[in-house]
Amino acid sequence: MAVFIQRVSNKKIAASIIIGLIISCVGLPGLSFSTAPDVLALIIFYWAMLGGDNRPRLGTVFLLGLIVDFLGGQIIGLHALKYLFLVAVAVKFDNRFRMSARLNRVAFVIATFVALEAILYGLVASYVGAFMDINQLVMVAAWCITWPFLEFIIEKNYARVDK
Amino acid sequence: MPLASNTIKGDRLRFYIKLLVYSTIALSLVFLDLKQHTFAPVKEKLSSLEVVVNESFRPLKDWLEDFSSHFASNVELVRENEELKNAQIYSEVRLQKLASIERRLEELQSLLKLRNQSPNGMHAVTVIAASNSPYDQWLRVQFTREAPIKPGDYLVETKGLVGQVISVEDAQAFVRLVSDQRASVHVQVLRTGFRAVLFGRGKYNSLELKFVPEEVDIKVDDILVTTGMGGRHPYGIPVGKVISVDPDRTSTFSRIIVQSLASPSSTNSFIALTGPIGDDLYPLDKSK
Repeated sequence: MAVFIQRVSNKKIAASIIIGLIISCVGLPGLSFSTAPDVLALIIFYWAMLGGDNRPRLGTVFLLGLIVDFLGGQIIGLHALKYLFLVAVAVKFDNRFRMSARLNRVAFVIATFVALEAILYGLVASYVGAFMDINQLVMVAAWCITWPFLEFIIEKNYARVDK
Repeated sequence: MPLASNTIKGDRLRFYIKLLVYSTIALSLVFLDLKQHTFAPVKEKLSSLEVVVNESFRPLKDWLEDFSSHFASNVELVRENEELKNAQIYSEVRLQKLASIERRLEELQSLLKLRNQSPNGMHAVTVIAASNSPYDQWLRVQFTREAPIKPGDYLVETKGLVGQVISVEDAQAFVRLVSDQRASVHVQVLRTGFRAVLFGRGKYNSLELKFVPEEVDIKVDDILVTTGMGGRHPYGIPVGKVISVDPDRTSTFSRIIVQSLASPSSTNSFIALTGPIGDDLYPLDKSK
């Protein structure tokens, strides 16, 4: 049911974001950039939704977006815009998101990511005179299904395991 | 309340202003990149950096790829192995079943051949129960109601004598095996013609030739056959083979252990000798 994170350490947020940044920039083995998941976007969205007061700031996500764009050789500002919108959506719906069931959360994540992808990349594609790649939307939706797995990994108390 | 409400509203306003500013900057960057290609030189320089970064992570990526492919192939191998094992078990079971059927067929063929020598004096019986006790060696056999099987009749198989019918009830007979402690058979050494009495030892396939003086010529591997004396069974049914001859220090007799030739535990069908049968039922070679 409700997920209220009692204590979130900044170290954990930073570590997960760095890992996400590395994966988003370097990619995953066996997957091209178009089919690989935007792990950093998922992590930012997670912390923006469930991080409470420790959610990533707009300046931080903007900077992260620029880094991804520059290192990935993509259109500069696109990822920054995407991450900014994700945080904006999170700020608007975080309470309702935390109170909803897991399945509803997954559905909301899929809807958000697919809508953002369609809007941003659709606009760019139309601007350059190309067609929006539907497969990319399908891949985005498919990767969003892993949201419960991401929640499980990030929610896990690793400090307790170490002891 | 009004104060708190104003604070929240102020925070929200600040957030949306920030969002607007950052979004504007991002959109401008997108526009500049798409329209003016402003960042092309930077991107080119960074692409070389990206190559370096990718190269530095290459071993990790390779390792991950190797690991995943290794794991996948291992899983595949394990599944394949499991399937092969199951198939092998199934084949082995079928093979054993076939071997069993083949053995049974051979056994029945040889019994039929034996019975054909004297169809009137011999009747087929089938085992329906056997003794579980190590001290009793018996079988319960079933036969057709027409078969004139009576107590005292002998039971044989292709290799030799099995036992003697003790009692008959309906179409069933109780047979005492030659290896039972209470069983005894009058036998003759095939090689020399010496006659003696063979007793069961209460052990599986184990018999003993008793009261044989030490000076009598009996050797290991001598074959013992029925004498045919008394007219209850014909001459020459193989009963056992001598496996040890030892002098008994407490008496003047030898201790002669004989192994039964028939193996009633592994055979399901036998022949009961119910009438007069010729002495040439079993082809005997006296030189053996």
